[in-house]
Amino acid sequence: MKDEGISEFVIEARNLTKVFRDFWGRPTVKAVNNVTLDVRRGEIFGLLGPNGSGKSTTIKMILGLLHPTSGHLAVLGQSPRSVSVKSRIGFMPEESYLYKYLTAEEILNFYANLYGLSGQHKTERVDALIGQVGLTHARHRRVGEFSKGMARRVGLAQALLNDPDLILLDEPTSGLDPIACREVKDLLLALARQGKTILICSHHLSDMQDICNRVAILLQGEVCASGSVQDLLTTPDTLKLTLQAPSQTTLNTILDMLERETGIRPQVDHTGRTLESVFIETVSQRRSDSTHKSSCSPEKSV
Amino acid sequence: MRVCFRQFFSLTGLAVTELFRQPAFLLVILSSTACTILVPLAISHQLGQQGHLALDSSLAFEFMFGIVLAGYAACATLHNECRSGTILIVFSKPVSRLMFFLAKYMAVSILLAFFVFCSGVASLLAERLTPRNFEFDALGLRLLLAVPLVAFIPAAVLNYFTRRSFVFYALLGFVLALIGMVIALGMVNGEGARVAFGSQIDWRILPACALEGIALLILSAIALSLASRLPTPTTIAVLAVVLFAGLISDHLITLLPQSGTVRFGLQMLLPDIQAFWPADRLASGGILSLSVMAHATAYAAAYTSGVLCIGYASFRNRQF
Repeated sequence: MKDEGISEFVIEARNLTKVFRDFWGRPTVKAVNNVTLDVRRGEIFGLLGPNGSGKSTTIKMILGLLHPTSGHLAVLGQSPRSVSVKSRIGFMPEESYLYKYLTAEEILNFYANLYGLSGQHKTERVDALIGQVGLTHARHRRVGEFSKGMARRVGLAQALLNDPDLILLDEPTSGLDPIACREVKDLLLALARQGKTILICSHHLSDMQDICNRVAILLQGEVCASGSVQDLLTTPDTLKLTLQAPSQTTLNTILDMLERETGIRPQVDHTGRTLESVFIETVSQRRSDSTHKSSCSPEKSV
Repeated sequence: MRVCFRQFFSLTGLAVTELFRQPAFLLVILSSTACTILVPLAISHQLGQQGHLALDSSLAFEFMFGIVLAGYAACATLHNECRSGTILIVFSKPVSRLMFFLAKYMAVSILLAFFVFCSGVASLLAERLTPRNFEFDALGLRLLLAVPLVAFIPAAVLNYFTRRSFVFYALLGFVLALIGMVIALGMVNGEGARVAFGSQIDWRILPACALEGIALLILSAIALSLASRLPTPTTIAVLAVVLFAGLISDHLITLLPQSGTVRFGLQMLLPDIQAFWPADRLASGGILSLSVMAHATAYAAAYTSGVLCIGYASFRNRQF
């Protein structure tokens, strides 16, 4: 029974601690303190926390780039320092750490070679990912000339090259415009539906709320809260009732009835759209119009 | 195994591509060539010296620019990769640190081999263009002035119309132009009369430059081992000290007691750069025999292996 449970976990961290030391070996900062985390297969797990809370350090330990000072850490059932386990992991770091003298295509081909991809399979995979992250028009441009958002797209594409089982993303939507951000979130949701496990660090709480199944909140290297997003967000003794706006008389009747029942007059408000949805709708509409116009223009027709 | 080779050649290829596209590399090659060819012209003109001055100065410039390039390339390919964070993505892939470290050394070695080749060609030209009896080689000087134009104009045109790397094509054009110049000058003498090809060129310079190149491979191993921790200026400074100490290592060791541990340690630690300094042998009209080259190569291979082992031990436990 216990074995079944363990095999379900893609990341198992028990009492994980990381202390950074100075040149003389004296401890300078305890970046991660006694963190225990379990990430299950096929879920999107979010690590939240303010700057310096230990999110990136935790991700680096999961990747084997930093060694825990104490505690137990297993990734896909193996030590994170094992080279072989990395063929099943995709990682997108917080900053777009890319070779600025290379083009987007050259970079993806390079990383594909590191995964051992070759021939037609490599070409198809690189082409597909360049298209998926929307960089077809810029595939031959040097990454040093890219905007931050475009560089993030290359970063995301390289993380997905090996069709990984576990995807680690550090601030994946940072620097992206709202439409690109929505596309990335949709892509991550699609990957999760395919059974991929995704661990995300982010400050963008609305993004995390949109896509994460479970989250853990880190503060000063310690887990302050963790659980499913649904559980954390639900206020058990409060309900939200959404209905098509009735007449004022009907509304007053309902409110009076509820007030008699609970002793408190319910608050009534209009449901609003989010700024994100307004932005996406407006820009998509404008793009669609301009595409339509250009496709109908005489030059295009000729 | 095939995957390992593919990874190794990809890492090496990427590092070489990056290094060859960096303007600093072009600048070092240009400066080195300019100094190698032009300084002997000025010295010989003032002092009325013959070709051996050109040889001495060109070999000295090869060492000088060689350590700058070794330090710069090692740091550009390793230290900068650690600092910029690109190494985080590489190590998130199934790549072992040993392979990464060795691939970087291979890349620096390829870069230095290219530099040594350029330096060798420039040294041939320097010796050939040195004024004899205060008479300059007019044809040679005209060809020399044409080299930058032949190299850079096509590279600029390519860059403008096709956005291809200016630095890479300028380097390629520059080297091809230098080789062309050697071939052209090999067929005529100082007065412009036809002679048997190569009879006016001191070909002994090429193995001498190669011998120095082997010493530069030792220095690049030291540079790479330092580059995992130190930035470029510090690495180049340490290399300069090692080069200087290596050049006088014979003298330094004789100052110490015959059977002391310090003497033994110094003998083991300091590279014997004197073994790679060919100017004295060439000045006396000798040539570099195969046994000298083989001895130097074996020494360099052993020393470089030791240095790379220490460098890797330091790099293996590095946390990012």
